[in-house]
Amino acid sequence: MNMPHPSDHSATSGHSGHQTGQAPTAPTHHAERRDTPANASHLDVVVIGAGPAGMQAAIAAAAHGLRVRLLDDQPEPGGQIYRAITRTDAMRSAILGPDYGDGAAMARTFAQCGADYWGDTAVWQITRERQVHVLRHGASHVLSADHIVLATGAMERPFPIPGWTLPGVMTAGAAQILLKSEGAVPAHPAVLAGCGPLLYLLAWQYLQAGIPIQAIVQTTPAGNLARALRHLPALAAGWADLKKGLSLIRALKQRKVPIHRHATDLHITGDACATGLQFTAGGKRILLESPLILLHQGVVPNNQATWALRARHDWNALQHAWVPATDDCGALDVPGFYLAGDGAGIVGASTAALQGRLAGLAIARDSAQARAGGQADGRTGDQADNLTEGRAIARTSNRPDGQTRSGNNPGAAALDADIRQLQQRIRKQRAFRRFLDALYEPAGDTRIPADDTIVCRCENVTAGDIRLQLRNGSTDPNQVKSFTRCGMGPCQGRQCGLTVTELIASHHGVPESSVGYYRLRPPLRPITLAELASEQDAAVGTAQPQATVSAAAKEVIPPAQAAQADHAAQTAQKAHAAPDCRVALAVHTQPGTAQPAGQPRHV
Amino acid sequence: MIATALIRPLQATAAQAPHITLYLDGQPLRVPANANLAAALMTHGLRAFRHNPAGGAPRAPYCMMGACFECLVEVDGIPNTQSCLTRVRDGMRVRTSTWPTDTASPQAIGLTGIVE
Repeated sequence: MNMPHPSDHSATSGHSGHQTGQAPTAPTHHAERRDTPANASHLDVVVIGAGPAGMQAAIAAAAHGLRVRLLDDQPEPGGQIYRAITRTDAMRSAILGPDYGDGAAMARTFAQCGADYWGDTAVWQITRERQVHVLRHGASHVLSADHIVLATGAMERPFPIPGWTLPGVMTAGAAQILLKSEGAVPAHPAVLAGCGPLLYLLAWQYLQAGIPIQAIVQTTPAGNLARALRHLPALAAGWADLKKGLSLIRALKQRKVPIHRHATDLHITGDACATGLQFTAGGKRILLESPLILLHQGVVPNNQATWALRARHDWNALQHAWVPATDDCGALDVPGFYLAGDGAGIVGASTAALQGRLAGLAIARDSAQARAGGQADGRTGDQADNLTEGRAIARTSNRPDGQTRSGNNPGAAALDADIRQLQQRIRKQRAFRRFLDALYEPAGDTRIPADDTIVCRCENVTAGDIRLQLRNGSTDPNQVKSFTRCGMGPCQGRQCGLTVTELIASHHGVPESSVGYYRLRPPLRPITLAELASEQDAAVGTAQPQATVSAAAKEVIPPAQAAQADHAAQTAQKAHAAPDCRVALAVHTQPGTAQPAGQPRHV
Repeated sequence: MIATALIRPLQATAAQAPHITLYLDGQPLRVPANANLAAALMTHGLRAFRHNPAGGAPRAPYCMMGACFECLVEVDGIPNTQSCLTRVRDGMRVRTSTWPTDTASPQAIGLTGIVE
């Protein structure tokens, strides 16, 4: 596909394109603000995710005159950490604490920065050539971008214990979302179980709101503090954060919240729904009765997009999670892609904001150098090559002696300096993160479950089912998936992937890095056949001919059947299905049935 | 099954905020305008939102952020809609647990025979 050069931007709404050969003027915040048109289908930068990293990336890129669109699956900016910040009230804000309030200023700056914001937008496919397919208001659109910033953040680590799938079991993150977004709190004294700062923060927030807490059940293993103290020199960088954390815990103790430490053998009781939590602590077996149990053992990067892009991922042994490989500006090994925030490795909101800004500035630098150097060197053709070259130039210009390749351009030098400063601050903050990672390292028995525990919630596959396949010779998650359907459900491995990687590594006694992860394919979010068939260019008025698929064709396509669905949509178009003919898609394949999934069937 | 709700509004004044009517399995339900659908259903007292297709166990929202796909309900005729990513609208028709009772053969939906 012939990718346009940054200087080729056509004016769809009267804005002038970039001038070839000019680097951004300095200081950067004096660059002329150029609002990104809402109907443009090609952007300089597409940012995915509206948390601190995404917002800061958009702000930084827009400040350098780039056309930026931010895609968000929520209706308003803030991501998860600042969820609903734009419509919170004073009471909720006071309960949630000052860190939450910080998001309000950032959301305001983002709203005014000139970037185009698409909320209520589900990204269902991102290609290595930087095409982004989104679902918005019932229709699918394709965007293209010179650069993409993935700022999709984190998700809760799975918490596979017996009974975790029962109604009434939720994550601490879910409870916090209910509080932030809906002002909803537990109707009974809360039971919180697991480990990690979010557990204590939520408990503190509930106390602020006058919600009684039945107990906190800590699963932090006994040796963690001693192991964490080995990272003591890094503490100086995060002293303020540590004090904050300690004061949270002190407040909980002062309010006499029962805390059970070093709990093991957690088990949710109940048949049709949760009735309580049973565990062993202090040598006793304890049962806490509650219809609502909140679980949390840390957050992990949300890697759906990066796995689907076939980017390189490394296993982080301390965080027990996969982390996409990035360079010191957050660039992925796929040309044109940057990562920022928790999606690049759990770092927390403040570091996420810095990484977002870093990605935005690195892209501004890439763009400037591509404009200044690309044409002159006679580079033609694939934009991806230009960007890779641009990044290589950027790295050599980032020399410790302060010399820059574009040393005679004060704007570029200021940009380089800004980037170096950010990198330094990020390095310091990440050093402190290692202490937290060690302190809150989750216990093995809540990560790698016993045989009777469900691992794959969607397909109801237990650890025992998986171990059977491992004993039969399976060695990687995709083989396990083929034999058990583990990972084939709608969540696309979000709730089971890490468990499966660790389970296999532990069973076979091999490193997680050699076990690998599921092979993910689009769609990253479910999409109906009608939505797929309606895909059009985001620019107004260039809709593709609509498939004559009737409105009754609302079969939702789970991710595993994506390729067949695409084929089916094309087949339906070609077959000119009569308007009243329902084109159905067989969405579940059972072994032994003659009909393969994905063949359109005229019903 | 409708039972004692697991969650409640923080503020007593929530009852005075504007409300709309949606239909849950045919029954009218008054919920706050613009509320999150999953939260509104849980506040109403709904426990099981659906049954897992592989085995039939009752399931309900777990993550509230679109990552677990347990909160699926039928909204205005569209099945498998993530209620935690949906805002309520006046007149919205919500159906729970419609699957697998309204589709084709038991073999196709995996109800007969356990896959070992």
